[in-house]
Amino acid sequence: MTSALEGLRVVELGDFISAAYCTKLLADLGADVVKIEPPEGDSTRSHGPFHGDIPDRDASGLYIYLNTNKRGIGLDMRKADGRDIFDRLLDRVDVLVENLGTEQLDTFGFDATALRERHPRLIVTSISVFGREGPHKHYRGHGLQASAGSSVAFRTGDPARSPLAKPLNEPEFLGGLHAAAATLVAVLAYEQSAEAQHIDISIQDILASVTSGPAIANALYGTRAAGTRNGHRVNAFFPWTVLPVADGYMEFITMQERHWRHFMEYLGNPDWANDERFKDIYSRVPHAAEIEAHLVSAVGDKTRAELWAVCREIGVSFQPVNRISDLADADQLRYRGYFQETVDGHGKRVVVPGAPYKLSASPWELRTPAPRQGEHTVEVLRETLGLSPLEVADLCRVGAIY
Amino acid sequence: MAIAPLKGIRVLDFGQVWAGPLLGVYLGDFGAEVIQVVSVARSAVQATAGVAGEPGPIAYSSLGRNRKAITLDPTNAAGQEVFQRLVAASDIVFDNFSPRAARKLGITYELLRQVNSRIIVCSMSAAGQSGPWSDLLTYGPSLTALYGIKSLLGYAGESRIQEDVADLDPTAATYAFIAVLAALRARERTGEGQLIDMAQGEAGLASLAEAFLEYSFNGRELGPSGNRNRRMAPHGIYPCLGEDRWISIAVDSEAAWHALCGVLGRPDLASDDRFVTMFRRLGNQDALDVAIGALTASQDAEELTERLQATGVAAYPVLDSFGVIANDQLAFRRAGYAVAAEGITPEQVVNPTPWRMVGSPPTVYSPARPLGADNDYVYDTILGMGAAERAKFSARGAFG
Repeated sequence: MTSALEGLRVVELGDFISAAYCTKLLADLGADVVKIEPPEGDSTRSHGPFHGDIPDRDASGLYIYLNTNKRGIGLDMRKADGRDIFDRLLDRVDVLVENLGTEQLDTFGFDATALRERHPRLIVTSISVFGREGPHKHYRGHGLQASAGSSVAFRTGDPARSPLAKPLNEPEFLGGLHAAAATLVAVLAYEQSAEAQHIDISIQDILASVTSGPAIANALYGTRAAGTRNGHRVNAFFPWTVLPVADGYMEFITMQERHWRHFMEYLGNPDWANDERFKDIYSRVPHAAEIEAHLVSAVGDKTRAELWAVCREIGVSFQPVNRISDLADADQLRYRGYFQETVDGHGKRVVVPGAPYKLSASPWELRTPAPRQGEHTVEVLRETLGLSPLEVADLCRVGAIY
Repeated sequence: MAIAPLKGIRVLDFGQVWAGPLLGVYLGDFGAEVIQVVSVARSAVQATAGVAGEPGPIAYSSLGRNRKAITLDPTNAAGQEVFQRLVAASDIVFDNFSPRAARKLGITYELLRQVNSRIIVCSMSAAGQSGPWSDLLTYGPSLTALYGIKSLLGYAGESRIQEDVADLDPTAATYAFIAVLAALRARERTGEGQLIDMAQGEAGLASLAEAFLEYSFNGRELGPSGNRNRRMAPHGIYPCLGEDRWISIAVDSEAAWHALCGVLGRPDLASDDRFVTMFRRLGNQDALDVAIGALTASQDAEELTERLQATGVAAYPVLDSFGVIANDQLAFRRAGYAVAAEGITPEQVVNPTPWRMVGSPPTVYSPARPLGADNDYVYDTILGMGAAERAKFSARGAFG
């Protein structure tokens, strides 16, 4: 079996999540990714989680997860010699993925024009919150601003409370995800036209055009209102709601009347189940709160596991709101080998999420763990750039590499 | 010169609702010939994909753009025969059915590779092609519940918020697109197709890896935390002047903190004992959010954003759908997207594939097509059927 992206050479220059996730997706399918780290290390090294909450730059969970299958080199881009090595490296690769921003790149002397002129065969993928062109290109932003600037936050949460952004650092991951897809398109294009291009990925635009696209099309063309926050229930049909049960929450959603009937039969067909006002998924909507009260009093003392077992037996689509701990134990994920083992910088075993897709002939695979800081500096400088051992030592002595 | 890198790639699209049709959009935007297969009996499920009939703006903005549209019912023998002839002439088949439903249509890789060894089959089911959950019936919002994604969404301590839309769908479609492109590249070398077995839930979990890692390392459930962040404070959405108007603010440095207090007219707050460092602010977020919210409430969200950005503070207004349409930055980007169809402007396409790439731009070529509009092209031109043969298949119910 071969890897799908074997032979694709990529350099990553960035910090935190988006660029690293983009190149992880490529590396896990076989691309040869060289990650450039500054002397102070990537900020995911200090993000954790750490075993026992003991900070350890070689054992940070986020760093280990995001950098599997890559080689790592230590380079000080603030030094002219460091920039020179970077420049020479770009001559020998197909793709540069960066999320540093234009100001930082300008400082290093690698603005878009310079890159194009010096490396016309290089695909450059840039990831930022707002994009590299346009009236807000200099705005500062994080994932929070992408959630805000896309309508995602406005449409999520309780109508009487504040909008809710996407959780954790999900927008940064989505930036990396889309960047990887666009990069592969550019690779295919290059193979046909021999012309490289610059890709400008905006996380705000991803959340606005893709995640929110249909909602915004509906608003623009008048087929639906602007979209509001729905709290725990969406009033398009009923049931589409989250209700509390003994040990957490259950999602009650179905568009099929037979599911509802089966569930009512399980409840022993109570009087309210036969109320004429509740006869179909649309007629129930104005009475949703009343029905929810009935449901909670009927099943609120049961556990998620109990209810889910019943739902699976009677063929009803209601599912538990699982916690992450439930997923870690889930038989489905174990069956499919979703969680995978790698090691941290001390060789200690670590379990991380695995393949997002299973390709039968050129599979996703964990070949090597995330590199220790500067682990492959010597290897890459000698093998890829053809430097002599003495030259490598000299570069270290002047502080360009480590 | 701009090129369409997927030109010449033929795709059979069995996408339903959103995740599937969006994969068809991605492929079509880069030049693939995407044939949307609708069996008349099932067409109701495809409402989102098939906004069609009139080639007005919504038909270009819909998930049905850049398609050929055919009717075909592969559940009967005649339809299955036609389907296999199409597979022999195609590069990619994809669906987002449950494995059981896909089998009923004959979308089984082991079978299809006998017909065409170069075929790439991408099945993007809820929980994957194998395992005890593989045939569970789920909807987008219950899939995010099942896979723990929903447990992270909400105000602190309450994981019971519905997504407005099932936004795992577009994320799953993007993962699927990567897998399909990778399989195409592998095929250039090996000459062989393959099966892509994608569980949408598993793909969704990957973007929230932090939560799993925290549990795996320390047995700790992160749970929902509203708009808070683990390394920035303040980091939140605060009320502004007007009805349901809000601003997002993320303070990522001490300089930004001082700038924020200055712009809000309370430089003294910067040196408040509780808020004087990032670590202290993270530990006093309840009081911090109350203090910030009280100061933003009398301000205009757009104006405050400009003033904060001018001093280097990450801030942005919370936009609703109309705000997104009117937004200068998004309008700028949208104006640059490629539209090759006559009578349509880029501004009218509000769900472009949002990647700016001039060498091979995602392009809007044609509106969603009405049901069966391309039967002649596909059956006569591609498969070379004549009127007599088509009538025979039709009489046996092949075309739904």
